[in-house]
Amino acid sequence: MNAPTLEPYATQQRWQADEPLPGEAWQALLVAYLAALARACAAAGPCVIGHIKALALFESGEYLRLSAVSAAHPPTVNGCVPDGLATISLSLNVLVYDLPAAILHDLTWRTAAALAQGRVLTVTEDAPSPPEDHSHGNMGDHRA
Amino acid sequence: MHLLLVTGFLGSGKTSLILSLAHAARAAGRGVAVIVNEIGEIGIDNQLMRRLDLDVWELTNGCICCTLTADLVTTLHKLDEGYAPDLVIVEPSGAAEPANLLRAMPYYRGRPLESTRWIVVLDPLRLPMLLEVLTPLITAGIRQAEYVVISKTDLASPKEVEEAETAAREINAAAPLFAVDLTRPLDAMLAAELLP
Repeated sequence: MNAPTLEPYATQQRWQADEPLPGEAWQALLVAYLAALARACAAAGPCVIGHIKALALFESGEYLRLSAVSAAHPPTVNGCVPDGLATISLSLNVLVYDLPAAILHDLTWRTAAALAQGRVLTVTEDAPSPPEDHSHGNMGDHRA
Repeated sequence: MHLLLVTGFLGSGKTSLILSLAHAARAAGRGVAVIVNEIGEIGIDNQLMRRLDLDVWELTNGCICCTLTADLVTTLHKLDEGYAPDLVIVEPSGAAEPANLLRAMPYYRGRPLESTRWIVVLDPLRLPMLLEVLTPLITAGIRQAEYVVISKTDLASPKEVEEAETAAREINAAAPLFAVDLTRPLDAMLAAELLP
């Protein structure tokens, strides 16, 4: 048996609703998205889901981190979404062994489109967010 | 400067453990820096850690155990010279073979490391499957670690936790083993035990 191969796929998504939603509604939607994506990966062929993780940072200082490691277990949730947002920018890393990045790309966007269908919601690719201000005076640049 | 290596497969709970340990160390008045290496073009763990006010250095564009070992040593030098933390926590990507990192340590020429500690985090929900399909990676990580943390006790059944403990002990009987729920604050005694 060949050693499993890993081609990571990452993207930044912009989730846009027609009107502001309660934080719990956003959270339920994004949890459903990660769960559906994990199921889609598992159904796409023999593979090992390493980690599907997503992060949204909010201006209020809050954050939502979602983590899925299999299709058999629901994603775990840390943090929360503040109420009243119509747009969420979501960083997404899809780390699945034995599925090529092109397929992961396809599954990622098809699953998002399927979830948005029937809702007043669009999902598009977003520009990466700028790094948060994090200077320390004597060590301005933290990127090694 | 103390060095703490927190390893484990993708999604095993490394970041959650690091957040708990870093906050415990800071609460004890220690200067803490975290070096994160993530697979993928977008760093999620480092963004989260920064949001939670941790000092994070990111190793990008490669795997820390392959092409980035030199970057790790360079980053340690930068930390030593410019920031002088008491504790540096290194989170290799979950696909890394961490033994390679320790092989790079002789090239570090900064303040002598007072101690080096290696903790492996194991996900009891997936350990049996991972031991089957990624045997060399998973067993090597367990065999060489000095401490074993079984995570996700909030999600796993007692039987799954027990099976993970048994599997880990079969590979590494010497390492102290702890089963923890990382969604809750880490017990102070356990944090003190795990921190170098």
